[in-house]
Amino acid sequence: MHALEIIHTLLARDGCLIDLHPDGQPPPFVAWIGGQSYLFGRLQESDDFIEYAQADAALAEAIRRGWFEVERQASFSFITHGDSAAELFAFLNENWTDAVIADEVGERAQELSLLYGPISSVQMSEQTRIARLRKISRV
Amino acid sequence: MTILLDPEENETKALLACAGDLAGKRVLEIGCGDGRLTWRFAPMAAQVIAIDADAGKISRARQNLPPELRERVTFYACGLEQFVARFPPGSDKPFDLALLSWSL
Repeated sequence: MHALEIIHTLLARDGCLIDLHPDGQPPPFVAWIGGQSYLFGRLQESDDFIEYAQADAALAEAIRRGWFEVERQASFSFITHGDSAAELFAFLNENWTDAVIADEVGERAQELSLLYGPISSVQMSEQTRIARLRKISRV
Repeated sequence: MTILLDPEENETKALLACAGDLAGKRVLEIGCGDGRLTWRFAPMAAQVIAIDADAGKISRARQNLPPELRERVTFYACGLEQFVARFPPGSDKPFDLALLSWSL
């Protein structure tokens, strides 16, 4: 049974569903040096973030089948912050099984540090979609 | 190690804006992990059932559950199909809100 169909059966007649998932674009890495930000690469995934396209397709199917309708949508930046590129990369490699961080991304961070000074912090920003969907109750 | 997730609370703000008033509401969170997002909205809801197929994360969530939320939040280490097999529709009150947090 489709997960969203299961959720439909568990919701009250006027219930709703909220879904959050990233938009599937490779999230950028930004280094902060002396108050300035520098983009130095992007996270990749071994499966090209396919799970997010699949999530979009599942929601579209649920709407097509008449289980839910969209009430509102928005997006926001979900930031993962580390004190250094090494720290952030170690966290991602430990917690994100499909994460691929190319060697040149770390090398670029080191180049920035040599050029502009010590990195005070590093951030990865995932553009994330949030949607509220209203249950459509079958008569 | 000082990894911070959502330090600007963008996710929390977006979720609470989308969810509206949770007072009196019964919420099912699917893919709760270690409870990171659960803590952000559970104080506003009447009851939260939070599930995740990763038993290790659920164990951490239970350990980290704030005392003031213990009467309000229940964690289950299971996926959605296992949950509905154990608690089929009609076996309990229906949920007002289902939250898929990075889990669809």
